[in-house]
Order: sequence, then C-alpha cells, then structure tokens
Amino acid sequence: MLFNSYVFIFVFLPIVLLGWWRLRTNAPRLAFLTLASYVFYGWWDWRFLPLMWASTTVDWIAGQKIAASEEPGYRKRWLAASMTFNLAILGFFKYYGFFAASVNDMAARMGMSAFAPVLAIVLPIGISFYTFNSMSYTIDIYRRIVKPAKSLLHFSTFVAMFPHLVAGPIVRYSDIEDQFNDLKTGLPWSQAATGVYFFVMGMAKKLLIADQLAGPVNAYFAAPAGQGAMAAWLGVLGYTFQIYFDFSGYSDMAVGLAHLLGIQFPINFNSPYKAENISDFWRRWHISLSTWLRDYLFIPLGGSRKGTARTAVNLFITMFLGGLWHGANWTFVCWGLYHGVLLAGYHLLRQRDLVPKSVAVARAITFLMVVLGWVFFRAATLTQAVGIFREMFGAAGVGQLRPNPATVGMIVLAWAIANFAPNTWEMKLEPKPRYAYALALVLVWTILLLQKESPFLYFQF
Amino acid sequence: MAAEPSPTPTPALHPGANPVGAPAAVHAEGDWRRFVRRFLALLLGLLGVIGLLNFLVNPEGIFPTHLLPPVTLNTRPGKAKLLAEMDPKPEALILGSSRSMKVDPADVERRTGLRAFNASVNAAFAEDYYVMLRYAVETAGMQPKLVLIGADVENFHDHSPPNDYLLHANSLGRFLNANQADSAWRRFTTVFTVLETKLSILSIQEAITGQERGEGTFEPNGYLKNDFWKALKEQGKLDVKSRFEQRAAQYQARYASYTAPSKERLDYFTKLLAYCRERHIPVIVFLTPMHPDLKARLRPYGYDQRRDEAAAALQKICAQEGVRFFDLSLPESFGGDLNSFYDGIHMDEHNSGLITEKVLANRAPGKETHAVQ
Repeated sequence: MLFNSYVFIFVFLPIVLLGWWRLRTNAPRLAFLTLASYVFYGWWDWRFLPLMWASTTVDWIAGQKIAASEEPGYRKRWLAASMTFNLAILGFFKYYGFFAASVNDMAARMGMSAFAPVLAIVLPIGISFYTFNSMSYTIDIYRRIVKPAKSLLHFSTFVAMFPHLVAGPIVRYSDIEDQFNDLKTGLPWSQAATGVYFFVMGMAKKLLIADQLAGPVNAYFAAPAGQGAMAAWLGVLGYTFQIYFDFSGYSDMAVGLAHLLGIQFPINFNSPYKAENISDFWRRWHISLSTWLRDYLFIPLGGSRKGTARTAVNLFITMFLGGLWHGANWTFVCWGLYHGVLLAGYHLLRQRDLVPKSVAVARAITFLMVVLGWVFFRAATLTQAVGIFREMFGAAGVGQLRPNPATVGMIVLAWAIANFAPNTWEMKLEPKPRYAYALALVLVWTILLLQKESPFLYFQF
Repeated sequence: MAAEPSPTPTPALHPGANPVGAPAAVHAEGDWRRFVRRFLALLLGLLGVIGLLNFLVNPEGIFPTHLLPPVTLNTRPGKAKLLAEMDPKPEALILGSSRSMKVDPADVERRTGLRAFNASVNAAFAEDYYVMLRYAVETAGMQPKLVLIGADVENFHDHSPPNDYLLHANSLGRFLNANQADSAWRRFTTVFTVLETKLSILSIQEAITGQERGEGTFEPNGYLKNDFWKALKEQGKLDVKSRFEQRAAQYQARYASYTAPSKERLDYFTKLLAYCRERHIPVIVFLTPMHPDLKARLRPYGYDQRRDEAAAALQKICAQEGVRFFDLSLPESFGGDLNSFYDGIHMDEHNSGLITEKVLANRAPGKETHAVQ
C-alpha cells in the first residue's frame, strides 16, 4: 500500500488512527498496530509476510539469548546467527540474481558456459530496511546499548510498524524503546498538528515536485544516447531533484504518520544539497542509513582512528557496501565507490587545508560532485552511465537547444527550494489559522493528483 | 558519510529531540486544537464540495446523476451516442484511434456500398476496439457487414492502463474483462481527481456559454467534422514543427515504458476477430502509418522493435482468423504524402483517403456480405 493512495488516506489511515487511540492499554494497541502493519505490507504481496515474521522471530530469539548470557562466546554465536540469517535472506532475495548474472558473464568472457542457475526472484519490498532495523537491534543488545524488547509483540511492532516499514527511516530500537514502553493514551493536539504538517509536506514534495519531474527524467534515461549535452544535464539534474523530493517526501510522510501515532522518528534528510563538502552531504542525506553504516560498519572497521590510508580503505569498504545496499547492480557499486573516493579525497584535502574557503564555492563543488554521482545511481548499466558522462561533457554536441520550458522551470524551482528554503524540520509551525488552511489546501490539491499510482523511488531498494 | 560525526550536531536535529514546527510551549494546547480543527474542517469541507460537485455534474456520465449532459473531451461516450442514434443503422464500422478519425465513412460507403460509421476514439487501446464493436452489436443494434480496424503499434502498450472512461460501469466498460471491471471504489475515488474536477468545470462552462459540446465535433456518421488542425493549416497558422516536437516528446515518454506488446491487449484483439468470425463479419486490419522523422526520433526508445513485434503478432492473429492485414506503417506502402501529416502521426483526409483506397481496393459495392475471406 502506498502512503500516496486513496485507499491509504481514505480507509487505512483513519481506521488505524481510530483503533490506535480508542484502545487504552499497551498490548492490544501494539497488537492492533502490528496487525495493521501486516495488512499494509501484505497489500503489496502477502506471500512475503512469512519472511518478515521469520526475520522478526530469529532476531527476537537472538536478542533474548544474547541478553540472557554473560558468556562472550555464546553471545557472539547468537549474534552471528542473527547476522547470518538476515544477510542470507537479504543476499538471496536481493543479490543472488546479480551474483549469478555476474558469474555467468565472467564465465562467458572466459569462453565457458554459464553454470550459475538464474532464478526469477522477486525482491520483497522493504527487505533492505526491515533487515537493517532488525539487525541493529541484536547488535545493540550485544553491545549492551539497549535491553531486549519486553515481549515479542513489542519487537514485532518495532520491525513492522507501517510508517517506516518499506522505505525507512531506519529506526533503531533505542529510538522508540521508551516510547513503546510508555505509549501515550491521548494524542496531544500539538503533536497531531506536527503529524499533519509533516505528512502534508511529504505529499507536496512527492506529488507536486518529484512526480512532475518523473516524466521527463524517465524519458531521458530510457534512451539517453545521442541526445546531447543539454538533454543530458537536464535529465541528470531532473533526477537529482526527483530523488531528493521523492525520498525526503516519503521520509516526511513517515515522520508525520508516526507523530499521528504519538511516536517520534529521527530525521532522515537535512537539506543535503546545501552541504558544503561531501562529508557534510552524508550527514544530511538519508541520515538513518549513513549513521547505521557509520555505527555498525565504519567504526567497527576502525573508523578514522588508524591513519589516513586505513581511513580511506574503511571509507571505500563502507561506501562500497552502502552502494550495494541500494541494489544489486554494478552501477550502485560504482556509485558507492565514487562516494568513497570523494570522502577519502575530502579527508586528505581537509588535512592539508586545501578545501575551498568560500561557502558558495564549496557548496557548488559539492553539489556538482553529487549530481555526477547520480548518473551511476540512475543509469541502467555502466555502459549507459559512461555514455551519459560523455554526452554531459560534449561528446554528442549540445543537442536540442529548445528544452521543454516546463521541465526547465520545474528544475529551477526544485533547485531554489532545495537550496534556499528551510527544510521541513527547520520550518517553524505555529497554530495560526492561515497555516492550517494552507496545509488543508495543499493536501486537497495533492489528493486530487492521486489518480495515477506513483510508487516511491526507494521502494525498489 | 559518516566519515566523522558532525563536530557541531544541531541539537534540533538530534533524533529524539522535538525539532519540528515546534509545538512550542509558548502556544497552548487549545491553540493547536483549533489549528487541527480548522485544518480538518477545510480539508473535509473542500473534499466534500469537490466530491459532490463531480458527482452531481457527473461530467463523464459514470453516475446515475444527470444534472448536465456529459462532456466529451473523451470521445467514447460521444461516439457511442452517435452510433446508437444513427438511423438507419450503419453496416460498416471503422474502429481505430484518433489517427483513423479522418477515415471518411462516406468514402467507405462509396467503395463498398455499405453505410459506414467511424467509431474511432482518442487514445485508443486494443480493448477500445473490442468494447466498441460489442457495444455496436449488442447495444446499438448494429449488424455489421464489414469491420475496418486501424491499429496503431501503441494500441498494445504493456504499461498503459485502459482509458479511465472504460473502467466505469457504463455502456462500454461493461464489455471489459472481469478483472478490469469497474468497482464502486473506483467510482468513489474518481470524484476526487483533478481530471474529473476539470471536466466538471468545463461542463458547467459549456452549459453557461452554450458552446457546442464535444460530440458536435463529429458528423452523425462519426467522421471528424471540426478538424481544428485543418483549419489552422488553411489559415497558415499550423506550426507543424512545434506540434511535431510536442508529439515526439509525448511518444518518447510513451515508448520509454513500452517493453513489449501486451498479452492482454493482444488477447482483446484476438477476441475481437473471433467475435466477428462467429458472426460472419468480414474484417480488414491495417497498421497505421507514422512520419519517418518521428520514427527516427522514437528509434532510440525501441520503436522499430515494438513495431516489428506488434506487426508480427497482428499478422499472426489475422492469419489465424483468415483476416486481411495491411502493414501501412510506412507511408510509401500506400503512396502516402509526407506533407499530409499534421504532427507525425495524425493525417489529413488526403492520406486517410489513400489508406481507404488501398485497403478497400477491388471491393465492389454490395459484395461485403459474405463471411470472412
């Protein structure tokens, strides 16, 4: 089920809010929310629910076992079991096809016949998100950062709760442990207003900006060859803003929905295109993922504590896996490695005090680097990505000199908003009537645009 | 990324903080209560008004209410109405998209001796032809002696939904496959769409100004009467280049998501021919042409491959059903004039006449009553 759908807004959400706030005690409320979340997930394909149940059960048991023991070996074995299980299902559903195709391709290049069986595997929606949610739980228990959930019900609700289930933010148990243990029995009006505000802002980002850019962007990337520099830059810039407004819009909606349940989620986007360097960008973009990778991968690898060379290696590894997390394709691997190079390069430049002093220059360079990275991210193949780069820098001439004014206008508008407007978290909401009416008008406007189903870009990850 | 933790984390952005729109302590809960109530009142009020407006105006004729005649930006209801009203009933039916709207029924009648009706509709897919034929036979009381189908490669698009109008429980939509059938939910949500609201406003405007409604664009035999482009061309105001560019952009987007001829749409086409066979109705199918310059623009988006696939599939289905198939996708295949395209796909009556001549050649008037050739 999509947040931006009639069935969600007119049926699912009202029923869930009514049920959630009518029930008074914790256990029935959590059970209700969990069941509702399973309906939400199963609406897409119920056959993958058992996979989520299995992941939930394994991590719940692992968490209990780890917490119950003081014996390091025993704790480590249960942590390993949890990790293995989660990575195995993620590996099979998300990466097996990629692995098989790569192996067969390599075999073909060596004159051998394909030997890895190619299976038609459907990627369960949200698997990358809920496995990361779930893994952080067992790791945090192992590290004694959190205590195990009070019950399987608590943990199931944490994993499945629909606002973050399919595309994040990647919530950690420590983020909501206390909130679950002490559920509000009545929604404060201020929090209701906050929830509404976030949800409407997310709808606006998605439907009024991202979806308006989707048409020209998809058309460009469907056949970029030979279109020239103008079309290439417009296509790539269009995608740069499409993915930002799409994903940050989804995150805003998730945060808003959680607020409507009386729960707070962490921030996921903080005006990333205002970043002044690439490291700053990663502190602002998909924050819940970047902090996850930092805490569970980069720092355990040694972080930046073991010298320049080792820091660079750690960044490469972290970003390589971060890229791969997004999808089983060499384009994502290259995107991750590209950012690894940028981060390592920035690290070196900063040590030598060679970073630009001018904020405007720093922001422009960072933005350009990020834009170029999106070519890898969006291209269907590496060959296509290379072709787009070549055309961006003139290999096929300027091309069409009369770009669609609507596309150009939308890109300029998106750029202005992303660069100069305060983001959703920075805006100051006040209980003034005009704000209430403005939010209502925007929501009505976006509801009228729901006719065509438009999934979020990050659902594919 | 996470290369180093932010040296100066903004407190307001720290997870668990309460950064947003900060329901600050300076505002009492009562202020927020009024805020939320105002929001809900306007939201529900506006949705109610819009829903009621669209339900009452009912611009596409999908509800029982008939406050105003349906507007027909969508040509389906208009064509269906004209078909039902034609008296005496037509004997030849022309099915197609907007590209076939200039196939003149009078020309068809002159060549075959059969009274003809052009039932081509805008933005058509294969299911449109099927439901229009069944409507003609089962609702309008027509007994066709010839069906002429102008098929486009895009009629078999595998990622475009059926036209919205068909998805409603109306005189045409009821012939769709059960899995595409209308639902009360779909009708309910339709009243909350931009399109429906625009149509309602247009409908009211037309009612106030008394402008001719969409169905007036067509002659009683379904032929496109008020040819907007022709008028512009005659006035020397038709900017063919600009229209070509618009069409190219539109079709590039369309082909970008067209990965193969849809099985369901090919099934509709097969069902259509089988329906005709069972009723001994002769059928002629032709693949409509496209200007070579537009083809060149669509080539990177897979046009050639889709054309070949669609042509092969149609040829096969037609062969199985004993139906004549003409591949006229190249203008030279019927002696077409490249200057007789308005925008790369839509043709004027000259090219349409050449097509009619080509597909109906050697068909003497009054000889169309026998079964499938």
